[in-house]
Amino acid sequence: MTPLTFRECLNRALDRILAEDDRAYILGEDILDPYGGAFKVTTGLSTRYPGRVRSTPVSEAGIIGVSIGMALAGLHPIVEIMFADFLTLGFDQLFNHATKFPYMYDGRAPCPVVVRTPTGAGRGYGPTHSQCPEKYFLGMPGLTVVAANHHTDPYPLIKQLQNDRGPALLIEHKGLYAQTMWTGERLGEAGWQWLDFKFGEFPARALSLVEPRRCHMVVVAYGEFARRLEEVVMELALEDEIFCLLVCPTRLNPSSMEPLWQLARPIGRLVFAEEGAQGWSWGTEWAYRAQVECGSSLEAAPVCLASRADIIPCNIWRESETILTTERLTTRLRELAR
Amino acid sequence: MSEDLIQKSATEQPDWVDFLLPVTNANDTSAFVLKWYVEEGDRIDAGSPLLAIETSKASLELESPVEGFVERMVSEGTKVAGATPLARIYLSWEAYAASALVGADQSENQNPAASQPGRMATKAALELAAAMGLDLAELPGRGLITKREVERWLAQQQVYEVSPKSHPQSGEMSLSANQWRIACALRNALTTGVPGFVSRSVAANSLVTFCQDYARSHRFALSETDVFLKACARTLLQFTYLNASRQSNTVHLYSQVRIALALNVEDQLVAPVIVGAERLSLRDIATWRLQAQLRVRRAEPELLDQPEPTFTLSNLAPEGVELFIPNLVPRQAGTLGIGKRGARGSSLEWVLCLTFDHTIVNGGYAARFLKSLADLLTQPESLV
Repeated sequence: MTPLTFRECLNRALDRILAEDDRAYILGEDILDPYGGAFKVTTGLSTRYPGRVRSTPVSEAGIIGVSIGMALAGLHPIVEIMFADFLTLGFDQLFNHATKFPYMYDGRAPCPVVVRTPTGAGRGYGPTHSQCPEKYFLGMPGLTVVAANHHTDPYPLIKQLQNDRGPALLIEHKGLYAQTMWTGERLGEAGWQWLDFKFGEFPARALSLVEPRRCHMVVVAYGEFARRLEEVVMELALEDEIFCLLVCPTRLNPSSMEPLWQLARPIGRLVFAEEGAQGWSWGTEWAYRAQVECGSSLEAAPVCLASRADIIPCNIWRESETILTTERLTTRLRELAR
Repeated sequence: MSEDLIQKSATEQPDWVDFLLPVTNANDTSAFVLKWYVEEGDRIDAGSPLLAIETSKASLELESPVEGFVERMVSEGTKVAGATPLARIYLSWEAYAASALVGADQSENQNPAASQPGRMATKAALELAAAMGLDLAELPGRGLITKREVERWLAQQQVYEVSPKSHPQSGEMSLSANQWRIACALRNALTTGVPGFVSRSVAANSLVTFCQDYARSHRFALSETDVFLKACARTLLQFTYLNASRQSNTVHLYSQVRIALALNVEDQLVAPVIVGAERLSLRDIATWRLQAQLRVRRAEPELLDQPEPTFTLSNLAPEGVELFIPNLVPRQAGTLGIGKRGARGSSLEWVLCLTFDHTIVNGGYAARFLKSLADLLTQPESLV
């Protein structure tokens, strides 16, 4: 059987959710057939579920606002924001409304809105269509932020987000849609050893090419960036015998990080790698917590690798100078292992 | 839950317990696994429901006997016999993590053949295998092949055993090209060099113990010769006039140590050269030596085209030699011969004999060199 791409898998997940749950709705810009959304995720769904897949005006605040109302009325809306860069227009709806209702009404007003959105660069889409803005949402109490990846079936992931009482943000990197899903069998064929575990109540996977105790460092990355790191980890192992334990969480803002520390303690070195801009970010927050919560077991301070804190240019060549590419990542990890 | 439904890991502090299928009555020796209540890797409390089984009489809910992290060993809908392990419960997450990752490499439900064709090897492993003429497809086990796996395999293979050759009993034979080359070189040494000799003995037990400990902890058989090589290289770095080559009245000094190791293979004397052994790890030196021995055995020509050595090491201690005076090799500053004296244990000692070119250094310098070397050999840990 040909392995599914993430796009196909996500499409099937949404299809199944609409089929099983008649309170589920999908809202977003241009998501109706035949167009099926900017990244074709909803292809076929508006035909199969007429009226429950709704195309909206170009108004992110409106889309999220309406879905909050639907959630308060007992429905299970899933929102697609065409580019994560425009999430900011719905920021107030999430920050001052969706996250606050379950608390302000003492749990009697659950607000299970799931906002899906594509992030990231690599296509030359320029300053306002290439960013990784999830960092601005990580510090929002009440919002569950989760990043999809090619290891994790999106169906249980979205179901779990819907079952939470509050709103959730599902990050989907643009580069992920065309990637094939990594099943256990394919991982084994490719020479990986892996461990699936729960991290912040959501699935996570640790991978390596040798036994963990032989690894030189633990590298943590999420989403599509974790997939790129697999190539880097492979190259470092084959070329230099530098071995990394790659940890790929889905939950980006967990309350407890203990499972990660348990993996990191025997190895002693921790690196956080992300495509988002350097500083005030996912990586720096996790590195800070690593230092505070397990720093005494580490041989060196945790390291953050990220893209340059700069505006992302349109020119694809200049874009690659701004973004943390796999080449640069390989060089940096090689330096760190010395 | 009775103790006999549990099997513990064999270590003193058990990492896990196996939970076995109970035999509920004499007629029921097997059961169907109905449903798991926990996911792979989930944490479970002692007494919490683990899975449901169905016998011919009833369905039962089985509880976890201990608190820990679950590895499911049977899948839903399968029929299992009594006392079959149903789940392994790891007592710490760390234990689960370690075993689950390694387990991915060994577990039965992975397709064992699938990983073989795509089995990858690191560059270092490929280089070593190529140098040793090994076919990595024959290497047992699974997963990524690193240099370490190749080294361990080599250590197990003992491909270095010399098969005794039969010698002609009578008649004539001509010297091999190599023998004639050496004979000429030794004759030249007598006419061009001025050999001097110094000797001293040094207690051997710390080095012998060190090699045994290294073999145990690294699972890698280190030869005493490897330690001599490194100790010599370190000492030569301080005694630069012995890391030298001389042509008439010009002495060449080198920033890196260049030692030739005299090897007697099938009655042929050859001396492959190792450059920069002072910087190499003991393991790398050992690997180099093994490769050199293999190349010598195959009579590979590259031995004739190697860097100019400054110093030769010849270890005849394994042959039971007590003391011998090694020849000075033309152009080189010195040759160290190593013998062994005394019984095993505290009285065992190395007998070091240095033949040096008296035109480059004098006896006092050579004696200080031996003293430094002897000090290093009594503290082999400092070479790691």
